[in-house]
Amino acid sequence: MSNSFLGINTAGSALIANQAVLDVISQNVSNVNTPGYSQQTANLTQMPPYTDSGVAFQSTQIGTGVQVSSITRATDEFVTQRLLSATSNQSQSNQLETTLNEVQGLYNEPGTNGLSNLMNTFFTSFQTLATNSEDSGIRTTVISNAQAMTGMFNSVSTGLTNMTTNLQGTIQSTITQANNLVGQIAKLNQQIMDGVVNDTHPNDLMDQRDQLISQLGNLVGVTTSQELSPSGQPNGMVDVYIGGMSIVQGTQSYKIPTQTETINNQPYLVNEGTPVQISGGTLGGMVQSINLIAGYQSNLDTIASSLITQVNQLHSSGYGLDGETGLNFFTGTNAATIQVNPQLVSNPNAIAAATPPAAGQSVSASNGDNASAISNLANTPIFGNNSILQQYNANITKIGADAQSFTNDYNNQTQIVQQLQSMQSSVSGVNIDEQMTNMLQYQRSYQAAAEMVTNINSMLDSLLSMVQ
Amino acid sequence: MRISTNMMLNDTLNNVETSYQNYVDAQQSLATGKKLNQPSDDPAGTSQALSLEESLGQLTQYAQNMNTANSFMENTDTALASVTNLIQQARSLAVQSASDTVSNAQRQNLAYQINTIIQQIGALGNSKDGSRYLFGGQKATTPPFTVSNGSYVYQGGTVANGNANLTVDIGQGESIVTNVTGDQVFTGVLSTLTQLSNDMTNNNLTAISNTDLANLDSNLSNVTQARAMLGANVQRINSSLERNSAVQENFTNLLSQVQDVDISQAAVQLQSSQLAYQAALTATSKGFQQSLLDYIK
Repeated sequence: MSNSFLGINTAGSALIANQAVLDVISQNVSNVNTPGYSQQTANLTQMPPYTDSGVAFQSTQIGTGVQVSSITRATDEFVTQRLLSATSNQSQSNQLETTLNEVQGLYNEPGTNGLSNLMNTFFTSFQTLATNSEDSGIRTTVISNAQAMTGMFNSVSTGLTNMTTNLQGTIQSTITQANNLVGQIAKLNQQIMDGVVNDTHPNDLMDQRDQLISQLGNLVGVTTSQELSPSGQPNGMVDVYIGGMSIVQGTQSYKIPTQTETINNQPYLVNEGTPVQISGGTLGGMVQSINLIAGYQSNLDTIASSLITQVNQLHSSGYGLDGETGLNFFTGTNAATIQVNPQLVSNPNAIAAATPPAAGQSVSASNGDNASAISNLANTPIFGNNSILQQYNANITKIGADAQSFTNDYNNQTQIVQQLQSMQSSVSGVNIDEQMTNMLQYQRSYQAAAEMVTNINSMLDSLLSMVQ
Repeated sequence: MRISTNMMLNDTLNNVETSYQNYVDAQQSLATGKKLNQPSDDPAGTSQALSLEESLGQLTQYAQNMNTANSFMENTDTALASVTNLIQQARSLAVQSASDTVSNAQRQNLAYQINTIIQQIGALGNSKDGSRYLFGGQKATTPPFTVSNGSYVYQGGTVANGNANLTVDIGQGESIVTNVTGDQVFTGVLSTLTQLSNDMTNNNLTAISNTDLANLDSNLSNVTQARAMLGANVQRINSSLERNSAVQENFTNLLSQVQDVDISQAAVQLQSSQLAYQAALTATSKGFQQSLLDYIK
């Protein structure tokens, strides 16, 4: 004989379950714009049946209602993993693109303030000097053109050095930031494992952890793996690695090493003497940037030092208007230190425009043959078949090609990331229309269950009025 | 594929951003007129543009060199033309004075005329182009001829001292001598004329007809030779200048092809990107008008 209140209890369970489903819908709608939020679903199951052996039913089972058995979040682990690595690559190429744009800004090519034009002007002003070697106004122009050129060499070189210094600082603060995230991930691992053990489905904590891992991936390329309990089931914790180096092991986190290096143009962290390759992230981009900048710096130094050597060699063999000889035109050894010899700045008549006079003769004022020789350095092959100017142009072309390839990389990676984000959003994102439909559905179910309670209540009323 | 609300938002945002970026890019290239603003826009084109700019800078410089040289050489030729005239005048005076029909008094008169010619030629020897003396070689800032004890002494640069030639670069690895030194054309004629004047004063008719006239002829051919050399060099410079300006024009066109925007193409690009941007905006505003929320009462 079934309990008179069975029906009202069954309908009551529906009220509770539908209410819970509506709560989950409410949670989904609330978090429609929350980054990293995964849509949640309340899974309904029937309650255990009641076996009756009474009058109404001959030994049969009767349902006792509905319950929420679990609330799960919608994720696709495969897409998440691919998105993590694509995001790392995207931030790496973004960093490299930024670096190269800054480098291009320093060189300011093509333009009147670029070294190409300034070096050319420097050489052609020696041509003007060659045909007007006695003209002190033109001598002053030669000096000021040379100073404009050395100033630009200095400024590009200083700019590159400053970029490196800034990047080194940012690398350290990025590592600090990453260490912070690593610590939070390990803490969340602990909380999630507790939830999994107690079967409380810590969906929101898992979303938070995914979000932190994604932030970490932006900074430095990482891989993750699910930890398994001794029974072979996932225990809810996630291990995180940079290359082969473990940085989160369950509830334990490890500090990311602060020393970096570049091997074959690839960025590495140095972990107690062992290099660990960095695959992606702004950190990878910054370490690679430093290496690229060092290359550009050394190319620029080569240009500056050969300019210094070649011009000085000719200049020191020539004679000034005032008979001065043996003077270098430039002081310094590289792009950072190249300067016009201060002796010439204060006395432009000492510029050695003239070739050596014959024995016993004094310098002829209109001898500009040495100035002409210096000017012709512009077209003299010095680097293989390349003149100084051509070699510099080749350097600029390399910078342009690097910048272009990183920009293309970044655009491609952005496309991939957008596509993967769409795929992730397709699985995990909330659709308001869908939630509203569900809301209507469960609202109706709730109303029906409430109707059932009212109905049974009036039945019981009838029964009780019989007793009176 | 299931579409979440944010997915639609993000996709729309991406589309709007992309079309806006294209629109701005098109606007910028039309506004600046340049398609080459930094090396990454076209690395190979940048290299081409830089070397074209360098070549153009050098060509302009060579053209300037040649124009300066031209003026210098034209002035030199004008001076030498006057010298030629004066030598011819002196020659006819010499022929006249060599005749015994001329009285001694008349011959004195002719000698005075020769002395005037000597002064005129001496002054021509110190003529200038701007601040430079034409006939002083590399010693172009001081007068090449000074008068000492009534005769002209050459002080300028000489081949022997290695300071005779004023050279000008007229192209890559191409240079030209622009000057004639005073000792090449003036010293000889001045000493011949001084001798002639003395011979006239002394009525030495044999010397006039046997030596001085022959010397004058050789001096004249010297000047003619120098003018022919100058003329050839001026011609070389003029044809070089023509080539120079043709190459400059060609390079300027090439440079423009590499770095300048094709205006009509850019205008079309702007139009189409504007259309795409408007379409993206329209799609956005229409897409978010519809929601189930509008129908739930």
